[in-house]
Amino acid sequence: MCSILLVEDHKIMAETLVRVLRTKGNFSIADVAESAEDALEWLSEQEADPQVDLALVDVVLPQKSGIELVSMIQQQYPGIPCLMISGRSAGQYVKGSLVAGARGYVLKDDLQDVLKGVQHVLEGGTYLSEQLSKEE
Amino acid sequence: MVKRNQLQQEVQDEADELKNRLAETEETLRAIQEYMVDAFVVNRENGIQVVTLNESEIPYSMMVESMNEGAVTLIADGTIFYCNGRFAEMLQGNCEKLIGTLFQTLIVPEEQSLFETIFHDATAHGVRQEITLQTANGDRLPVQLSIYLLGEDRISGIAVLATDISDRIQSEEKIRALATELTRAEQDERYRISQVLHDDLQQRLFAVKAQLSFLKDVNLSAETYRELDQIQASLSESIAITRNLSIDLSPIVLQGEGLLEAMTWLSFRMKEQYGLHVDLEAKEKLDQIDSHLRMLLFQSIRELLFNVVKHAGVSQAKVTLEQVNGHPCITVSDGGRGFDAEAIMGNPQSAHGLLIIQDRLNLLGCQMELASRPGEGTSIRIELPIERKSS
Repeated sequence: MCSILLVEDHKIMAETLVRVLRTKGNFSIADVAESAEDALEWLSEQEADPQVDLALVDVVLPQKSGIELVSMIQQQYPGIPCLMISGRSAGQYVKGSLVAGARGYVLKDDLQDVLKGVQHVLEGGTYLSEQLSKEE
Repeated sequence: MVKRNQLQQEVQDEADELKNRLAETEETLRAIQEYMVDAFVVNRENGIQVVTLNESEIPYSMMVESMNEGAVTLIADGTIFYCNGRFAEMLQGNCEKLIGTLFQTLIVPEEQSLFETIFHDATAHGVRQEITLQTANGDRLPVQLSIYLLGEDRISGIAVLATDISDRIQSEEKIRALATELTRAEQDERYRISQVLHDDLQQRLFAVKAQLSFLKDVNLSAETYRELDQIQASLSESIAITRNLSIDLSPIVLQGEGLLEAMTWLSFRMKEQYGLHVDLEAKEKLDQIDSHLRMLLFQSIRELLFNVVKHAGVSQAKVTLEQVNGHPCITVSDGGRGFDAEAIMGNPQSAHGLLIIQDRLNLLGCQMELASRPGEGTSIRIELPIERKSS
């Protein structure tokens, strides 16, 4: 069972995502961090090779942004692929995320698409939400 | 008896003549006392002479010396022939040193050519121009110059009146600073509401929509399933409305990028949301605009484009960014049904939105001009201020 680190600051959304990932995707949740700082702290507390197969990171977080977090994870833990999740579809968020090293970008309002994105990235691919091409 | 009567008549005539001469003399004296006489003719031993009353110039001289405006007379090439004490005071110098100086040399270098133009255009009716003088201490002093020919040609001399407008300029700068603060506060509030919509309300809607999907996993009647679908569709619409509202309240493109980028984004948005095709012509990028003014311009142009959507009856508008006579300008135009500009703008009820836009732009130093006639479209030009260097 693949293990996911979820970084999401909105409690209700985090609970919903955990439920969707567990029940509909059959993934395990390694940890739910409410900020980039919490996520980095949790990663640093793990052994040299954290048992995480994917980090699912919200773009907008308090203090350090999700994009900054992805950049730091890619530097410190290059083996952990990151997938961005957001309610924002603006081009500069998507571009910024990909430049930082994210392997994909999905939108929160389509959870089937979120699961599809997680699966693609876990299999070594990249994924952009289908809605993004229709918007900005 | 006859002789006595004749004598009485002669005495009466002489008295009348003396009365007339007294009245005439009193009138002359009054005229002299009230400075209405410049000179008079006297009959002396060596013949008739004209005596000038130099004192008659005193009140004029006193008036010129005591007035709050600088007064200067120039000869044709601009050399100072006379200046009053106030003008010398304005320039932190003295009259003796200023007389004989070329007026042009008292103006800051970057405005000397502007002065030359108005100086040569001066007529007896006068020309006016705001200009910056340079004082003896190197300070800059904004003044309003009024330049008049003293006669029919320049040979007769040129009069210049200089009014210190530094208080007015400072007041305008204060108003502009307050207006900037108001725009910033409004933008901060828009950003805050946008964040609440995105970071809280929208997240809750996402979560509710997802939680509804779990209900579909249990056995439901076809009717309940359809109702769930309808609720989810309504939630999707609510999410879309919230997202659009969040974006429109505080477009991310306004955070740090230039006006052209913001206009490009706005053009895309107007097409996407309202089907309005905006032809964006950028002769200038206008990327040196203060961020608060850029936000206000963005909001104003968006309102003007909304007006095209609501009133013009066309699906196409044009936005032009350019420089006109050294001023950055933005023009929003359409070929729609137009209106009687004078009648509409003269009525605060019908022009309410336009007047608010105009007032807010004016507060930040912009000028908005509107041209429209029924059946001939509308063109609204916003002229941006050229930053004045402060003293």
